[in-house]
Amino acid sequence: MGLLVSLAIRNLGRNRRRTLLTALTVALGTALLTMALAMLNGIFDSTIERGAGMVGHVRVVNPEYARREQLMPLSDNLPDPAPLVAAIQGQPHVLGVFPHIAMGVTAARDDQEIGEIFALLHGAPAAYYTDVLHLDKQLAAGTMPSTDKEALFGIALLEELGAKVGDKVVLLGQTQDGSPGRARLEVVGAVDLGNRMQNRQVWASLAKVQYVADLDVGATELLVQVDDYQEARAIAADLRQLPALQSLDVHAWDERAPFDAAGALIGTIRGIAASLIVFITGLGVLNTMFMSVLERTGEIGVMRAFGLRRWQTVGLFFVEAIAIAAIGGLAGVALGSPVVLFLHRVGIPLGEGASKLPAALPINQTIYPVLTPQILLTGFTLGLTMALVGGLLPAWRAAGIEPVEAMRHRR
Amino acid sequence: MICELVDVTKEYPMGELKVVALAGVSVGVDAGEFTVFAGPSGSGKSTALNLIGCLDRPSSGKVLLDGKDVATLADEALGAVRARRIGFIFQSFNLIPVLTAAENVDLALRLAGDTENRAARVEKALVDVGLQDYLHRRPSQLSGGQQQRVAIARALVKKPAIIIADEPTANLDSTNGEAILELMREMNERDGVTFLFSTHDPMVMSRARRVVKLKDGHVVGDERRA
Ligand SMILES: Nc1ncnc2c1ncn2[C@@H]1O[C@H](COP(=O)(O)OP(=O)(O)OP(=O)(O)O)[C@@H](O)[C@H]1O
Ligand SMILES: [Mg+2]
Repeated sequence: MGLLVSLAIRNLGRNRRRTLLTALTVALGTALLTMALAMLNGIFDSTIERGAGMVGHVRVVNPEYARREQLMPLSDNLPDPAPLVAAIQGQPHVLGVFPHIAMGVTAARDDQEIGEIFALLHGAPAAYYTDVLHLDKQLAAGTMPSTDKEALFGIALLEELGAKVGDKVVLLGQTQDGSPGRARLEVVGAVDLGNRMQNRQVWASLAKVQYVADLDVGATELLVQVDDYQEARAIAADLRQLPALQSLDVHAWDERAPFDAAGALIGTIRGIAASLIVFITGLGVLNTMFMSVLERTGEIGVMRAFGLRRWQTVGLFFVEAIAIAAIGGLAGVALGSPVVLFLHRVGIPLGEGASKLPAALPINQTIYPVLTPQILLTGFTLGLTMALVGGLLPAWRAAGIEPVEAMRHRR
Repeated sequence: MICELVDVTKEYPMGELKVVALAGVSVGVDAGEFTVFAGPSGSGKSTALNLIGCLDRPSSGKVLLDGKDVATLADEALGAVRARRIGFIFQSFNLIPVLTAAENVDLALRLAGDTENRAARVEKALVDVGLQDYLHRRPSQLSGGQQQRVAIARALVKKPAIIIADEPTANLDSTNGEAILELMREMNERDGVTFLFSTHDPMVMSRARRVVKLKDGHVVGDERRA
């Protein structure tokens, strides 16, 4: 083994330019990979963390509501959430429990005819808006509401309404039994969530929306915030055992649409991006390693004649490929990290397209790549994989070199 | 008898046809011989050496090494026999370019798994071929004649039963060629090392103690001299 390693290391220095070129290929591949993964991280992880908070890390609803949730059926509500909140509050890992109502409305400035401008109206406790959605940190203008008559409006909606902070807006919807429901709200704050669909929402007090929907003290959902959103499934499973929640639908964010599918989708996207880069870089390694094998056929034959085994031949080229990849991988990580860190500071604008995605998958128009130690490790590991991919065939070819090759007079 | 070809044929497929490189050759080599295979180009000299050297297998017939048939051994076993019992010298020297003279010689010991007292044996082998001052030179820093001396040291260091040399002087000028041959002859006479080589070169044939003549894959002559 020591013999193979020392020979392989010597061979590295043999055609320095080629070795450097191969290492550079791996370095670029690794750097690209590091950047791609960090970018996907930037897009998805923050999106998911925020999205998971928005839809409730764990959500408790009427099973009938869960079945028809695209319609947001107000009639399938939780008529008396208080005892449920009391039961969930104080369970391990639970940070907060928020009754929530979401309903579709049409909106107009109070001096205008009601038109075709649709919006999503939320009713929830003020703490949900500050502690979970952090709307107070995303105010483009104005302040947080302090009374039931006041509400926050998304800037896209305000723009369509031609309204601004201080104006009064009338919202029209349907109560849970289908009769008209109406609210007149003062715009006290304009919210910019960085995404057009998301900016077409209204955030009012729970009491006001209960009134519009005629739900009395009821709500359609209980949104439970937990300390670690990635552990939500396990926590949901525990909450499901509570006697008070026996007949209700209790599920974690990633067990529900759209995130149940998104997790797998993101995994797939990552996988495809990584495989593509590994494959292409692997081809680069393959090319140069093949050249080396061809060039050294005679000399491998000589070593085979002197007793080198087939597996040792494979090992010889493999060690070389791995050494190149380790150098390239380290260089790539060293090359990619500063770029990622820089982009993390300045952000990458994604353009208008990103903002047309559905509100439940809110991708910011500017993304900030996030570098984690895990990405560095993955980048480096995949750098080695590039060498394995590219080194395998040439090494295998080298193993096929017969000892008689030693006798063929070349050179 | 160290090694012996018994009614050996070797055919190479060439598309639909077959090239018959050896057509029923029987020839043996005894310990201490200094024998040359001579004959025109394509007569089968290299093929015969490959078979005796366990680098290749015959199409039919037996290849005996120390009385045992090696033609039927599996790759790994054949490789082990080769590593321990046979030394090779090649026409184009074929040293490993990234290794120094000493390391090239050492490699033969390591590949043979013969690791006792390596450093001293490597040095002695190189001193024996007159390269005491060139131990740490790479092949590219040595002349052709010096490279072939390293190759002789490499073949000799593990004390093989036989050293097989395919046209060892063909890539050398006549002075260097003669010196190399003189060195081999000296080792043969002094230490009893068995040499078997091939050549076209009349000078080389004149130094041999036995000349086996090949033609079209047949043995057509076998003369011994004092
Ligand atoms: N790998 C091979 N494939 C096909 N034919 C081969 C192969 N090796 C040798 N031959 C053929 O076998 C015959 C004997 O070849 P060999 O190399 O043994 O001759 P040689 O006496 O060593 O010739 P030279 O003096 O030119 O080296 C030749 O006709 C050659 O073309
Ligand atoms: Mg030949």
